[in-house]
Formats: sequence, structure tokens, C-alpha cells
Amino acid sequence: MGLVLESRDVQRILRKLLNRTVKVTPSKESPDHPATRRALVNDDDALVAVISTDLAFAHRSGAALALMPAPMVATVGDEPDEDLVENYIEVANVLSRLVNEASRARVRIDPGLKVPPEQMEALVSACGCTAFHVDIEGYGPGDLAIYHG
Amino acid sequence: MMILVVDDSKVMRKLVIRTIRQAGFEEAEVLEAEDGGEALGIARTSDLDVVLTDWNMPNMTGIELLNALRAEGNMVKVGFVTSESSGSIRQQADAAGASFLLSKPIDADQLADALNAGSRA
Repeated sequence: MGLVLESRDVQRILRKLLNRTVKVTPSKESPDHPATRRALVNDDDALVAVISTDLAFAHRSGAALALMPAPMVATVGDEPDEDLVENYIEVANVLSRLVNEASRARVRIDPGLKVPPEQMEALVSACGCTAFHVDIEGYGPGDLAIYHG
Repeated sequence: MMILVVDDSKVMRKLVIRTIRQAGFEEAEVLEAEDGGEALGIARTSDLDVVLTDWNMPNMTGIELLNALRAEGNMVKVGFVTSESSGSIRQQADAAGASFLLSKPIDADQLADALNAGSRA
């Protein structure tokens, strides 16, 4: 698909969504925690891209979205927190704008979770990603990536 | 003013409600619904001034909600607050009679402008 995704666009969206300072820089990491993977699909429900993050970004962005006290995130540990990950999905949903804006295609988070995990796994394994290191004021750092062909 | 916020995400409903307050509508009565079907039921029994709805939701989407309201003769002002932002979506919203479409993330100024314009229309 040849998407060009820019740090400044990620920063613009996250700053506005989370209503706080967010610093975003390009990263060479390939963050991918299975609990954070979500498919971006087109109008035919065909897989276009996958957004995935490390658990730190999912938890911290989910907490920041809900204005949860930052110290609560520190107590979560290394397992996915259901509520925080659910909040993060909304962050991912808004970040799907990046792909819309870059490709002028209409994509959205797979609403019915219809894309099989194996299909997402195949895309993540086979395709490159554009990754970003994100530091959310008051909550801390994490990494996110969009995998696309 | 009575506003119905429709979104399948609880945290997004809270965020929209917070933004409504920040936009200067501290006194507004705000109701919530998880999808278009629930919203339609509330709209039948409440004297709503504005419906703020997401686009993609299970059971009944935002555009299906708007069409259902109009089919019942309910002309309440409907605005979309959605991650959708494409031209085709905006055209669909306009054609169905939406008052506005705001792409997430939104801020208080954007929402205030949209709600105030909606009140005057």
C-alpha cells in the first residue's frame, strides 16, 4: 500500500484526543502484543493493515483517555488489563485516521472482529511496519506500530 | 437542553460528555445509549434537542439511526462524532440530514461551534 505515516500526525491526533502533551518520534522497534492487535479493514471488510502496540502504550494511552490516575497504571503489571485495553481500542480506532488520511481509503477498526487472528499474524509477519515511540505526559512511554503492505 | 450521546464505547461516551461540559453546556441534561437501537427507543420517549452519535456501532449504526429517526418523522438535530472522516461518509451524512460531522478527536471549541450552530438552525 506504500503508506507514509508521519510522527507529527500521530502526535497531532494523540495530543488532541488525550488533551495533554504527547511526544512522538519514529522508532525502529516492532511492538506487537497480541492483546493489542486490531485489524483495519476496508468497506469490503478486507484486511488493509494492523495496528499493534506494546502493553505499556496500550495501558498508558487507555488510562490517559479515561483520565485514570497514572499511579494506577504502574500497579497493573505485565498482563493485559481488560479495562485499559478496551480503552486503548478506542485510541486505536481514532488512530485509524492516519491510514485514512495517508491512503484516502476508508478503513476502520474491524467492528465485528471478523478478521481471523491467523490473517493478522500473517500480515504482521510478512509486512513491514511504521513504528513510533510515544511519551504521554504524566503517564510515560510506549511504542505503537502500523503494519501494512 | 437535552442531549443524547450514542457510542458503543463507554469511555468515548464519557469523553464526549466531558467535552460537552467543557464546551459550555454545563446545565445540559445528557442521556446515553450504547447503539442506535437503544438511542431510537430513548428518542421515542424523550424530548431531545440534539443527538450526538458515533457512526460505527453494532446492531444499528449511526446513519441507520438517523434514517430511522427521519422515517418516524423525528426531526431532532443529529450530529456525528466519529473516527470516520472520508468524503463519502460526509456526503452520506449530509444527504441523510445530519447537522454536522465531527471527526474524532474533537475539542470543546469544535463541539461548541457545532452545537451552537445546530441550536440556531
